[in-house]
Amino acid sequence: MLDWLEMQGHWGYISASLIVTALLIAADLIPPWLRERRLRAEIRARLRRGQG
Amino acid sequence: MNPLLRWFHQLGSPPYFHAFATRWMPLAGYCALALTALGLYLGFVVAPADYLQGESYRIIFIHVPSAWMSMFIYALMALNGAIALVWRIKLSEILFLCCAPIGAMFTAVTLITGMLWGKPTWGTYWAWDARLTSELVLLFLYFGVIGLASAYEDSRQGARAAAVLALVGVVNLPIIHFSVKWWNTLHQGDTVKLIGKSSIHPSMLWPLLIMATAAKLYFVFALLLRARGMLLEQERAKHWVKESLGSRP
Repeated sequence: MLDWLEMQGHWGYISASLIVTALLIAADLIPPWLRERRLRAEIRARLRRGQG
Repeated sequence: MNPLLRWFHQLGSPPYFHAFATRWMPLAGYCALALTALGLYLGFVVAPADYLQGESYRIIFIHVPSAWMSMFIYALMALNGAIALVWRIKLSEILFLCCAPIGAMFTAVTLITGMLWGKPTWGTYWAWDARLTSELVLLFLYFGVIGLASAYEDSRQGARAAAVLALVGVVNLPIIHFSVKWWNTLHQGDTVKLIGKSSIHPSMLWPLLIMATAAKLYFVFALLLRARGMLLEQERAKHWVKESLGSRP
C-alpha cells in the first residue's frame, strides 16, 4: 500500500492526508452525536410515558 | 460584579451551559465548514507551489493547524482539570473529559499528515526526532488521560486521577514548542511567528491562518457537542433536563 502511495507522487500524499483527516474527524464527531441523539430520544420517550 | 466574571459564573450552571451550547454550536459548526472550504480552496488551488518542496508542502494547511490545536487543547484540558481538582466544578470536569478525545484526534492528524509530508520532503515517514517524539508523547498523554478517566467505577474519581496526569503532562508542551530550538532536529523551525516577521509568503500564510481559525471553530463545535451530551447523561434525572427536552419537539 505504501509503495502504491509513493507511486502517486506529491498529490498522492496530499490526498492521503485529506482522506485520513476526514476519517478521523468523522470518527471524532459521529459517535458522540449518535449517543446524544439516542439519549434525547430515551429521555423524551420516558417523559411521554410519564415515568420521568 | 464584572459582566465577564458573571458570565463565567453563569456558564458553570448546567441549564445555562446547555442553552449556551445549543445556541452557539450550529454557528461554530457552519463557520468552521465555510472557513475550511475557503482555506482548502486558497491553500490547494490558489497558493503557488513551493520552489523547493513542490506541491507536497500543501499538507501544511492541515498539519500545522492540527499541531497548534493539539497543544492548545492540551493546555485547555489541563486548565479545566486543575479547576475541577481545586474547585470541583462539575462543568470543568466535563470540559476536561471532552477535550481529551478531540485533542487526541488533532494529535493523530498532526502525526499522520507529518509522516505523509516527511516522506517526499525528508525521504522517510518517521525519525526519532525531538519534535516528532515529543508530539508522539503528547498522543500517549491523551490516551493516558482517556484510559485513566474510564478506568474507575466512580467517574468523578477517574476524572480527578486523569486531571493529575494531565497536569503532570503539561511539562511536555514547552518541550514540543522549543524542541526545534533546543535540539538539532530534522523538523524545520518556526515559520509563523506571533512576534516578528513570519518567514512565509502571504499567499501561503493567509490560507494557513484561515485553516487555523477553522480548526479552532471545529474544536468549539466538537467540544460543545460532547459536553452537551455528557451533561445530559449526568443530569438526565434533573428537572431542568425534563423541562428543556419536554418543551422541544
